[in-house]
Amino acid sequence: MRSLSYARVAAAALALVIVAPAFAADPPADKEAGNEETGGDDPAKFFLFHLDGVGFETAKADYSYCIDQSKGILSLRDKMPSGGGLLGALINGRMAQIDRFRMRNAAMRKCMGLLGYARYHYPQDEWKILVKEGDIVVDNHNKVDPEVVDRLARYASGPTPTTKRLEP
Amino acid sequence: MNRSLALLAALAASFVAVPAAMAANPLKPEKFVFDPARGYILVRVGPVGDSGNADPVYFVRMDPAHPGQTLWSFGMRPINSKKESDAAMVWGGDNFGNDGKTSLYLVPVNPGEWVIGGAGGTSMSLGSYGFTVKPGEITYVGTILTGRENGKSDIPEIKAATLSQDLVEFGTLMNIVMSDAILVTPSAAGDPIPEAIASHGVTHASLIPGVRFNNFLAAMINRAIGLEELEHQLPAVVDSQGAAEAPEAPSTPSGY
Repeated sequence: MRSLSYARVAAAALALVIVAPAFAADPPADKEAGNEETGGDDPAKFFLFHLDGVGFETAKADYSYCIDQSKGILSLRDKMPSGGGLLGALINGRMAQIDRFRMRNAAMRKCMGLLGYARYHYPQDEWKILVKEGDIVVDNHNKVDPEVVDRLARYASGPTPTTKRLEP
Repeated sequence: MNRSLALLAALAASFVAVPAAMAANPLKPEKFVFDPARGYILVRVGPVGDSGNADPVYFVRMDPAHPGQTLWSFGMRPINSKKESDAAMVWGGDNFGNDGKTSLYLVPVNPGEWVIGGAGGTSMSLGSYGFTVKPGEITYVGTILTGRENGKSDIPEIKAATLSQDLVEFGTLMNIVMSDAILVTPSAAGDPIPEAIASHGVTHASLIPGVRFNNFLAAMINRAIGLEELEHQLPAVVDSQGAAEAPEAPSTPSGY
């Protein structure tokens, strides 16, 4: 009986860990209604920068600068202590991860936008391959991948995209 | 709501796991005893609430040995620690009075090359203003107005610096992707300064526009309103062995 209770508590805890991030930073789903022009992709997540007339090396240098400014961003959850013991720490850690991703994206939009780059939708499936399942700032080990930066710069200095141009 | 978020950001900026050592905080008028060995930053910050308290503005000293790098960054001792004199958080009720729009703050700091580092939850690392603080001098920076980039500021220049709609509307309880803006007006000869400060002599800061530095707050980033456009970075130089050398930031003046 006692083990059953423990099992239920554990199951509830696991559910919390899995479900809580959905409420964490209010992240929109990858695909959602209202984003018909981007094939349902969330335009806040699946985008790349482009600037007409910029050279590859300059685009690479610009990306590197903005990535350097954005990669160390921490969320308030990282900076403030969290309660709730191990479970609380697990939930907080997952929520902080989502926060950082969102904040890095917003910081890149600010930085690249100030450098004159426009933002274009990039299809989710291709985007995930291009950034190797990481994001436009860091990979899944929180490191900057030079090969991804090269790819991003190649796109930024290439032909004008035909996909939807997004707000800065 | 904005004020609460700014205060939360300030609390986060000041919090670190390392035990508190000491920091540069604004002085209470009754605690001000001029120390000729120190430098002082004098600044007006606004807008202020009904209590006269301003939202946080951060100052940080640049590392003379490492151009573009600040001497303090998040993770070191708290920015509002009393032992920290290479960074300062200016806010709250310890001020020399307010004019209804801004409050006047005086902060003792280490002499050197300083920058207006940020405001609220944002580092102005993409471009801000630098200035020199000399020992035995009270350096008057001018007026710094702050606000979030949500289009709701009463200050026209800050209201105009509104983010895209998806960023403005992000989140339900708290908008973590919202950046803050600053509008800096240099000090002028006719600015009213209390006698308790003016009697020690006040130097008007020569503000250096466009100084860039590291994201020392580990926070959202921005560039001060009114600066020239952010310049492109110089491509890396590849030497004969094929190794790339990082170029220097093009708009960082000497000493920063």
